[in-house]
Amino acid sequence: MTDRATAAPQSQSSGEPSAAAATPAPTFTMLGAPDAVACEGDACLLPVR
Amino acid sequence: MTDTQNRAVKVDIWSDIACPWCFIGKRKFEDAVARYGGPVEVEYHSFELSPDTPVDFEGDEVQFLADHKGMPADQVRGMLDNVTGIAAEVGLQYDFGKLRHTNTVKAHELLHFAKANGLQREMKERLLAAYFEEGRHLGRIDELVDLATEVGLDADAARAALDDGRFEPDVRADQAQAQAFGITGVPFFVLEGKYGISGAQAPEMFLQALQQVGAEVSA
Repeated sequence: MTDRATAAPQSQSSGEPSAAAATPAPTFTMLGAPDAVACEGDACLLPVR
Repeated sequence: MTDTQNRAVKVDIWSDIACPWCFIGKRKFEDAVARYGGPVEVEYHSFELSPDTPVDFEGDEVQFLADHKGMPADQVRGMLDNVTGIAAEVGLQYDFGKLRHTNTVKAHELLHFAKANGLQREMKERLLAAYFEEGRHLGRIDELVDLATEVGLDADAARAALDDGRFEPDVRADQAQAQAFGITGVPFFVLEGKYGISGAQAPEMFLQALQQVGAEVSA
């Protein structure tokens, strides 16, 4: 179990995540608690704290 | 409904079928959407947590994690019991004893087929319940077709789409987009293409985000 997933800051925003081809990453403003549980790789059931 | 809730908030969600926190997070997000009361447009996107997993993995979830992580089986069982308890708090009946660990790419293809036929959300819910609560084998096309028909999709069309893999490019496009966005874990929620929320947040957190973004898009 991991406790985070990050969004990498990039130079511009496409504003359209569902585009057929990958578009440049936006600078996400992260909302919510930073320590919410998430799955990362096969580690989503492992204790992290 | 207030004036700030007139326009739908677009929420793109990256998740995997084989992600226990994705199902739990889905319930918490749905709780927030119900409390928000305004229109919310949800679209699911593919994310494979373990793309190297074979379709027919011999062994249960305890064995997979114990072998993969070199951890004692009892410790793994304790972790699974913990997740099962958290799932129960949001009304989900996880059964890791029945769970069939498998490759999820065909399930993701089915989700894209369902999206093309206007039933993606129904298919997503059905697949998650089938995987975590019912021990269905989601790596097998026969099983996926059965589940597709349960949500109203055409069996022959679903089978043809899965057989020829016509939606695999859409799965890969979602994964490429996740990589471009820097998304490394799921569930991951993107609101209006510019706000990111990671993980199975508390409903209050999702609600706060929906209210904030809803007010912005309707301003």
